[in-house]
Amino acid sequence: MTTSRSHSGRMYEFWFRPVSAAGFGMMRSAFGLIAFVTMLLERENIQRFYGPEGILTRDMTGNVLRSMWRFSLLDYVGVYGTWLLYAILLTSLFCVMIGLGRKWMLLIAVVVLYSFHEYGSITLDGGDTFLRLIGFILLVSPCYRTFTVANLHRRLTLIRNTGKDQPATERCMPMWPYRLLLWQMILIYVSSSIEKWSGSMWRDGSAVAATLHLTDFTRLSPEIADVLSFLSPIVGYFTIFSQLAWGMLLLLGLMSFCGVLTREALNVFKRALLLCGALLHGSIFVLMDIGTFSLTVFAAYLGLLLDDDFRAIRQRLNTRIREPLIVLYDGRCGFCKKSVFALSMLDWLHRIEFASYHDPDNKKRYAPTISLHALNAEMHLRLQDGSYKKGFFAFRALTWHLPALWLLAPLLYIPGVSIIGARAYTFIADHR
Amino acid sequence: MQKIDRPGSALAILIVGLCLWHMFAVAAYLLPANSEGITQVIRHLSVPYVLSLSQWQKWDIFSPNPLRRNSVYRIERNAGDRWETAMIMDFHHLSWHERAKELKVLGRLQDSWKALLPDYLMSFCSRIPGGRGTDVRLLVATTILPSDLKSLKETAQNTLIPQETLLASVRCPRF
Repeated sequence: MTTSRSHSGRMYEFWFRPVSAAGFGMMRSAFGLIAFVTMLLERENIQRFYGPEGILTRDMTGNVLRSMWRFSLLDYVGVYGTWLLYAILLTSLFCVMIGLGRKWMLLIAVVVLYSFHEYGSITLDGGDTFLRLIGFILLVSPCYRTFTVANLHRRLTLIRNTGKDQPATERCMPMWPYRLLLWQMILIYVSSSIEKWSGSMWRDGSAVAATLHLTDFTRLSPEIADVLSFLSPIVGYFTIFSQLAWGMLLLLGLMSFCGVLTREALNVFKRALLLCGALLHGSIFVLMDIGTFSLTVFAAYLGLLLDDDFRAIRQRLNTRIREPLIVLYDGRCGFCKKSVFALSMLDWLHRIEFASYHDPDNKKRYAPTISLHALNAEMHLRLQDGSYKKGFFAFRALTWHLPALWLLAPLLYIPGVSIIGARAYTFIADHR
Repeated sequence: MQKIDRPGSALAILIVGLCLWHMFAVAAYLLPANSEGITQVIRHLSVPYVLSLSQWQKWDIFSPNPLRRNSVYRIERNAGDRWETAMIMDFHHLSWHERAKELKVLGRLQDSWKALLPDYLMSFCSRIPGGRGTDVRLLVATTILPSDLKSLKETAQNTLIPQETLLASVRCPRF
């Protein structure tokens, strides 16, 4: 009886354990971004590929496309209707990307995207198919709060009213959408590796070299492709076995379910697979143009990140960070609180602590030697060695710790930028 | 961490059941289409569900063997006594945002939907300079890459002779 109850408890935990929705939120935004940009770039070809008088006219769909179990809104509209659906698709995808509107916006985006894909089958590649699979999993997932405008508004209102942000850990969703996504990834990789293994060129090590020489895809000149061809057997076998290894997640997952393996060990293996996948798809993206496939895979990887993974990634990137950086700000100023909120939203590595210098404890602890007048004039950043940076220079130092601003950071060291930046900072601080 | 609303037993069973069905169906769809016996029955069970939800999938990119065909597509227009090149379509002549899709479409039409090639060519009539009311044709120059690694390492040095094929020809309307 006890065994049966603990077994059902484990089953319940397997499907309904609450997990962070951050990964799925990021995946949703990435899905919206990739689909939006892809479709936007097709604007000149909308009537060619999807219009009633395009390459595939409406009356020919029955001869060319499958007749059973197929649905596309485009079957029922003319030229203007096609443009209207296109406008609806772009609008809804943009809303999905920034998290505007409730879940019905995602429903509209997915249904219209499916319509375009089901009509324009001749244009589809693996990335498009993968996008549809992600769209479906997002649609059935019950969580639609993370990275949304509504959530941002709620948190801003909370800060305005109470001065405090809501902890990020409150965002959670059940485990089963993650299970669906993971299963989909396992199917893709395992079936892909089996398909490859059945080909003689993958087994004899020449497949990658041939791929690098395909002028439809490669970004390399034939000479460089020739030089890199010696890597073909190694890369080919790495591709097959790193993809096949996704099947091991089933076995390890079963062992974890039975208590033979810890959940952390399972997650470490999953992160190793994600790293191999990132290496593989990143290389494909750099060396070849095969549409959106690599980017869509990265979007799916975001959805596979759970609380433990975010924690492990942070630990790995924070190995040299002994204590947090302290941002001393004016806690009585609305603009400053909003700025701090914006910075906290970008503090993905959890390296920064924000302290209002109007709090006597904070003042005494973090800035005992700095006058209130000086603190009031500009933001102060206390570094790990106890030294301080002020104003623009504090912001510039912070950018190295905020991944979203990493690309901006080197630009702030270009000669002259600090002079303009310091003046701009002073102007804003004076008028806050 | 804040707990989410725990679903009741009936709802939980329903959700798990639907998840298991979905996982089964998409996996069964990957079984070979020409399978026989029980695998054929399983696949037939999943096909309506998978296709209705647009979840069809086949992950055979660059497999079982990558294509070894390099193609340069060319549209020519009739200039009275000769054919003039009006447009070249390959990785270098197409813009970065359209080449993957355009070459994918051309490959698909060439391999599977040849009947659509005239319509495809017709869709370029308005883009070809002086194309209105003239005959235009679509050609492909194909070279086949070697399959062994030793020859592939020397592709740049070896001159591969392209084979040219006429894919379609149409007369553009005068509009």
